Amino acid sequence: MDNSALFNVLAKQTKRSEKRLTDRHPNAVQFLLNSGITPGKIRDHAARLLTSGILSGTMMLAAPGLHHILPPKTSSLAQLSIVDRQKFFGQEIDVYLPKTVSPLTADQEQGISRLISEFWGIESRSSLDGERLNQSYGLIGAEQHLPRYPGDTVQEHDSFQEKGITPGKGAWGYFSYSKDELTPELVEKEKYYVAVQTLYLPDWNSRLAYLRDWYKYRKVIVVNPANGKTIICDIADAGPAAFTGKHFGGSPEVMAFLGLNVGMQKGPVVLFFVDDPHNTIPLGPAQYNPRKENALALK
Amino acid sequence: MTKLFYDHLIIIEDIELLFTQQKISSEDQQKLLALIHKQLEHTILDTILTYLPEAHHKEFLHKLVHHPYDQQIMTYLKERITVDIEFQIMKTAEKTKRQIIRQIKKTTRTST
Repeated sequence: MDNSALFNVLAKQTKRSEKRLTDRHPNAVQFLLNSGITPGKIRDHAARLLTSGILSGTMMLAAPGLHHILPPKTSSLAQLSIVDRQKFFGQEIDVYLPKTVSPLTADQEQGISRLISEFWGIESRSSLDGERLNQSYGLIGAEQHLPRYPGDTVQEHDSFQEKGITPGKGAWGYFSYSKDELTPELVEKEKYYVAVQTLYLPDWNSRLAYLRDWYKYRKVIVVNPANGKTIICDIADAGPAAFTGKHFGGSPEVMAFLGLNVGMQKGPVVLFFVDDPHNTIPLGPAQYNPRKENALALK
Repeated sequence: MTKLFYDHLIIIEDIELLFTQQKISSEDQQKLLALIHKQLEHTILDTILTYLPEAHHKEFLHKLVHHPYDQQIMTYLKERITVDIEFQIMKTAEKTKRQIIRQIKKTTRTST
């Protein structure tokens, strides 16, 4: 029996269903096409994923047409190099972010918290102890060094001296009373500081005493979604002013690590509070924190 | 055949039986089934995207691209869609299948 007639009829029907999908959901179809997948060929794509060894955690190019290497399943994340970890993290976090810099929805913030926990083993959230900033996704701009003690000069800072030092103290004053009392821990606090807009919190003035203490050196995680670079910082200054159009400020070291110390010296970042009651997460470039996995293994 | 996250909701054995009854060769059956699965993908995706709030489309598509076989996608959809999405997918699949079966019977009647 000649089945070509049947084949042609079903092929026409399939074309119609494809057109209907494209007409009704053009953005979704474009997303799939940009990922190298034609709607209707998702099953073939699934087969390629399985045969390429992605499930086993092996890092391989999944299929021709995909524009990036697919990230591994959670069990193999612990083995990722820092470079790969940043790359995949940047790709994954981008899914949750709006097209333009704007406040995130609760769903987006929860999704990002989950991702940070998965990729870095670090618990973080946009709201901690009932406190939250006006924005958790905004533009960060370059700040100068902060004077760490009375008489501190930019020459005393060991890097990025060309960025200068602020003429006045940070919003929480000097880090130490004198040079002699400047501990390595306080050096790190200035090195990896960020400025946040505490001054625009609706209850900043009415709860000043409590909030000043709560925000002083508060640990935060800052992510540049463009490259997945992630760094643990502390809040040590207030600002920038709203008229600048920026929402956060980063120390010279922070901006350099994030890759934002070039050109306009600003860019969009996610900034969440780190939930670290025992102060075990060090400041600086984020490292994979295996404590969660070790704790599970010990159970 | 590689499974997708919604495969437990669709039955196409009746179409395969029809092909066997019509004495369609295995090779031709595979080609026809490929077209049928394509159609089902289109209509089921249309159903999901229609009921899933647009704010979740990007995240759903991301999961579909990276783990199309993962049952967790169904859990994800059920948490975010107010209607019974599994029932809607089954309804869509049945409707698509009935149209296909109609075409198969019509075409095979004409050619015999």
